[in-house]
Amino acid sequence: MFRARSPWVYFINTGSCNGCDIEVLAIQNPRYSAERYGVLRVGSPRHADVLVVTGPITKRMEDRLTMIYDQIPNPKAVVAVGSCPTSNGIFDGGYSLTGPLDTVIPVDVYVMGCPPRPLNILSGIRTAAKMLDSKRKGRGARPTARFDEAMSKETVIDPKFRSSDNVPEAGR
Amino acid sequence: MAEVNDRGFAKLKVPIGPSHPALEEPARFLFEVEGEKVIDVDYEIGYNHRSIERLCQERPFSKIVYLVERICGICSHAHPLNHVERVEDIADIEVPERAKYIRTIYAELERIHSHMLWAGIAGEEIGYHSLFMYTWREREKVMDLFEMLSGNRVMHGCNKIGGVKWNISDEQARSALGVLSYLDTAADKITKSVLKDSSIAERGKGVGCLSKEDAIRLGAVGPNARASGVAEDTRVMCKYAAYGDFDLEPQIAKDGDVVAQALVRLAELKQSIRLTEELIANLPDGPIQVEYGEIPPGRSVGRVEAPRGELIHYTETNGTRFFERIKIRAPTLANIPSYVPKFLGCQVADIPIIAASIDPCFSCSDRVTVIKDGKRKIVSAQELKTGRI
Amino acid sequence: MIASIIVALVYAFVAALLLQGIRRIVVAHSQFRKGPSIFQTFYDFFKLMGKESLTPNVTSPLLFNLAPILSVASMLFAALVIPLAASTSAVGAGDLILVIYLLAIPPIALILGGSASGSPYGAIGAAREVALLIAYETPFIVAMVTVALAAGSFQLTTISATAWITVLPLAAIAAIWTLPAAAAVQPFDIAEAETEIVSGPYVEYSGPNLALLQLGQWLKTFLYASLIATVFFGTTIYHFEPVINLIIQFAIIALLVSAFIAFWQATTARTRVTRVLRYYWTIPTMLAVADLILYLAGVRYMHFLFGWAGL
Repeated sequence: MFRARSPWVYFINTGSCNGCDIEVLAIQNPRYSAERYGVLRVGSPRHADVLVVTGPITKRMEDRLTMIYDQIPNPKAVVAVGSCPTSNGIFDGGYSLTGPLDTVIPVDVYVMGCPPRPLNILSGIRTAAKMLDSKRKGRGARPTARFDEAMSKETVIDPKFRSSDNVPEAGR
Repeated sequence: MAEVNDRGFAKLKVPIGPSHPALEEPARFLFEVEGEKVIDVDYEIGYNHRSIERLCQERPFSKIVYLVERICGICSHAHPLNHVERVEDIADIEVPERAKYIRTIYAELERIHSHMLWAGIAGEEIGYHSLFMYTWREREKVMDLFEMLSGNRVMHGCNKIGGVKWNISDEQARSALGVLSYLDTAADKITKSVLKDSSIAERGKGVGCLSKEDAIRLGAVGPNARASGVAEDTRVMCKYAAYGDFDLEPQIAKDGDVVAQALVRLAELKQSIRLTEELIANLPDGPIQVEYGEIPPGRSVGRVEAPRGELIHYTETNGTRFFERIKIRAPTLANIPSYVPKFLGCQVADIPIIAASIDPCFSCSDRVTVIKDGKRKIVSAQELKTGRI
Repeated sequence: MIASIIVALVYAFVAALLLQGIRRIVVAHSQFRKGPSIFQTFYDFFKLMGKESLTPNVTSPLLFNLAPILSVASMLFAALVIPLAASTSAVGAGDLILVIYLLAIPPIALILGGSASGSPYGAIGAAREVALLIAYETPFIVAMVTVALAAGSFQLTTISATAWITVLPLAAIAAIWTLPAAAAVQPFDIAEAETEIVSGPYVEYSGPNLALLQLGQWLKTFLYASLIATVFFGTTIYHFEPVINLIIQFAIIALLVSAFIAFWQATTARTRVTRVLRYYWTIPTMLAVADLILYLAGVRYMHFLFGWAGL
């Protein structure tokens, strides 16, 4: 019951256009005042309950995203904000995307819109927070990377681009 | 982990990003710090690369306006504005005066909301949450205005080739003027608090300085360059849309530090509010869009002053429904090199505010940076065309 | 005896968490927004207790997991030593010195935990916490020593028989001045500094460990304020029923916290670590030292000031 009242949010941008990001940030402002529901933006994924993802998943952010997801202690929930993480949105078919989000990590709440309105995002976060109680608690230490290790890892992109096989010759 | 140098300071490698509370967007900075002092910095962008330029070649051009709108959610008017102006330039489409004015109104409102957003984010970066709360509360008024005019807070979908989609009724114009006069007093209050507050002065004065020489040498654009005294404003130089009808002065400051950046942006905020009021008052009558026929083959390059600086679009058509090539040079890409002189020798505490000081927009900038096997690779034009990179 | 210990511990726990709720509400209202519930800190605490505790790839797992327990244990001990309202202290002579030492343990636990995590953010946060601790402890200790000298005793029950703010106001100002730094909120949240070093020493802590580490900080804020309230406002005002006494004491502390911590938090930007030393070693330390010198020189300025009024 306490989980629904204090969802701490870690917010990650995986290639979003900023439109959703500014609306996610806007939930903190006095008009939407997310703190009245205990929604707090935290800087470390270790403190978070809810992971908010904006943007289609670019190839370079994919492994960061899974690392961040692993660092969040159980129980945790994932909110996909905007059309991009839900369905790749307008960027669908781009060679540098691996999304949608639910092919990378399990998603609990989808907030649609391009971008969704702040109150919808807030409501999505609260819905996810209410789902936390029914989630697996999870005990015991699983080895995870430190936050700075996850961040300073060198990016190595595997040349497994899907588009190399099926992209037509410049579309005409 | 930490090696100790001869003066007894531990050298630490501090990664900031790609996901970090100070950065709204993925980009990675690797700082080498000695105690609290930054002695080296390396940056890496490209986390946001969404293959937009390639998608622009794959889709019919009626869809591209929406795609370029989603390059960046904060400059969601500057990109499509530049794009449609390029196509109109190629096809020699004469846009009605009213459409030009409406485009300019949106562009100036976007500058207002973007600069207020920046002031709030800058407050957040130096740990001044009240400034963030105040500016973002007032910014909601601009978002409401956008919603009233176009139906969406962020993605306005206002531009189309040959004009604009949403007209402005008299009633809307009247209530917009009311909001603008409210914003004018809010802008005054923000300026006053930035100027008077000693804790902002403590965190901003002399932090992240960029000299005028460096700004020119490193090709800084927009408010970042103007804060260093470079009087360049694309609105004044290019006179695109309806800017030719108005006299604008580039707002400049001398010091190039964070306070100067803030003052330039706040002066532009005031200037934009006044300009929007003038635009609405002088809104000409007439149609808002014209029909157009085939787009002939051709090429056009043009500049637009986005809130972050000079935005360059290069557009090439080939007579079909598809573009031959669209190349976008976003202002942040030009501003990123100026990070290096700003960061060197600064304190760890100043990293977030310096990072925010150029008002970075990495989603605009991440066009192509291919990193394979951890090494930078040069991409040939043929590879780019076929997508095999 | 056991009953009074339990009462003291429960009171300290509830009061410390409520105080944070009050602080958050005051800050929220000064930022034009509706704040969280006053019980928000309770929700946060119990939620964190029910979460998974991850020990990442840290340098020293033992130290890493020990730090939160050390922090809370020291604060619970301090809660027994500081007289709550009209009650007496559990320790006899010299308990002021003991309390000052105990109050320095949560920052030290934070330093230990931050260093043990092996993260560069933790390391920078720990270094900043050291600077902060040195900075604010100096005026605080000088102020406390001044009071102890004037009272002729280091025993809290003896000291708190007088409301020292009426005798040594400069020392009181110096001590109250250190409150925001002890509470580690803006402008002195340099060790956490979310936008700079993520959250410093806290960055790798999760679940119950994080809850305990934060509880240590919250208890410290409460006990620090209650020590100042006890020393400078005295305990002579607490001559009602025990429950009412506790409420009065809590009200005084809440007033101190909202006026000096929350208000300050809402109106300033985060300071820099290099400024903190200069900030605390100048005016607050000078005030405290001035009061000490004036007292030792036998100048009773409050008496001169208010002598004509018959106070």
